[in-house]
Amino acid sequence: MSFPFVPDVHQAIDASTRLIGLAIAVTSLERACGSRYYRSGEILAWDVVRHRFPNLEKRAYAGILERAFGFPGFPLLLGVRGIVGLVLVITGAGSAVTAPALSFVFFAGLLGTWRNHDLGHSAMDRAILLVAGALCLASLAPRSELAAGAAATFIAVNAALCYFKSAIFKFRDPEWRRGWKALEIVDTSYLGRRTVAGFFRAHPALTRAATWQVLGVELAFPLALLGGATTAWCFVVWGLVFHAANWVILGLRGFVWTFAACYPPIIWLAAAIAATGTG
Amino acid sequence: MDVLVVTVLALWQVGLLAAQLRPAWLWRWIGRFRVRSLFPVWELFIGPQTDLSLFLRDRLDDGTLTDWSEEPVWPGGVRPSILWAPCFWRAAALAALLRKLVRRERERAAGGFLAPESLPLRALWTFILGRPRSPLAATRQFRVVRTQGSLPSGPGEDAYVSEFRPLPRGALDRRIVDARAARDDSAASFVSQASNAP
Repeated sequence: MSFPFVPDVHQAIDASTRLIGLAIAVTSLERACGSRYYRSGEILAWDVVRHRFPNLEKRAYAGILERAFGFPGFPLLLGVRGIVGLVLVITGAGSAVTAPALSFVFFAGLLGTWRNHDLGHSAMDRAILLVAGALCLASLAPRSELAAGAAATFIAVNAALCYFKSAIFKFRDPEWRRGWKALEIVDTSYLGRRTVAGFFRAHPALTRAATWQVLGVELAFPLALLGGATTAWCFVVWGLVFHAANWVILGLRGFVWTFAACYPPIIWLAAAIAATGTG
Repeated sequence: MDVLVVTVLALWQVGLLAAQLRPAWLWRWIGRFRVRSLFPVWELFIGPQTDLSLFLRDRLDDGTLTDWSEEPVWPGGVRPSILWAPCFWRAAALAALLRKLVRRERERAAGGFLAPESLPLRALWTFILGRPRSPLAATRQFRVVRTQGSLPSGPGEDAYVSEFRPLPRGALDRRIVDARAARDDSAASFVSQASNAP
């Protein structure tokens, strides 16, 4: 294997399919195992979420939706989606089951985000939808270089856009500019950790460094696509370390696999752009 | 098929780029087709990471008020393992709902044009009225408290305090209330008979 390793477009799509399958499996099975939180009287119950659907009873599809979004319909749907995600981890791209499996996880995910919006669903779920949707489209023409290239480009560009756009918005936030955001995030009962918050409070210089490195790298992330494969690998390694740290400190598990699914297309696209530039 | 795939992806990409600018017409259009989640606006960790806690208390049938009890973000108040945490999504939903409620109520206080009862408030009431309770509880109140993270700086400040709302009565509760009413009626009739006695 040469360094830096650059996958061809089909390898990139295959790796992306397996990794997004893992992200879907982990997040969906975890939710399905917490099915009690979807029962009546809980925060994720259909009677709580249903307020988002005024006049639902007037719709022709109300009965189907009530069953699919209620209990035990919705946790069951999540469980099946998780199992199909595992199938994608095993088969990858290019098998006979890839297109139907990707279609299922995509449409089930769309239903899930429609039901919950951001109540128990996050930016990660929307990122999963984007990657799964693009891979699903590519799987309709499994031998096509053009379709695979378009899907890989779509995934890579949107991952870079996600980091870049977030950084632009972060610059508007005074806490990010002051360099205190890392402390503010780890100092909450929902996401934070008191020990890490205490450490950041005791070391203000490190807090500023942690905050500003996130801002700086996210802002520079489009360079991952324009600087060639070696530069892309540097950003990818940073991304893996960053999301792994978020997993350990903040408990954000699914982001690791979701963004990891975007990295093979990023490396492929960076190498393709560099080759176009030199060739 | 290749051309179709490329065309769909290109149109989706244009929509995604346009969505980042949040044009109202596009938002309305994609909202009509229930596909907003396909056009996410990327804003990871934007805005204040407010630490909010939810407290409940009940008023019993005899008018007694219970103490405030916290509805913990993490079930049982214990943070789950980083490897496997089914309750993470419950915590995420509760935190999101509390944040939305506080933001909406702040907008309402600032004079924004909002419905009489916001969606987060209705959803939160449905959750709160469904939480476990004593059969003697008649009404329930909640408050959302903004705390200070890990700093030991006191109990925090109220971000929202609700009014009392009647708790839904189950079959068992109805039997208890009916039995009490019958007991009170017989006591009242005894008192009335006694007072009417010569």
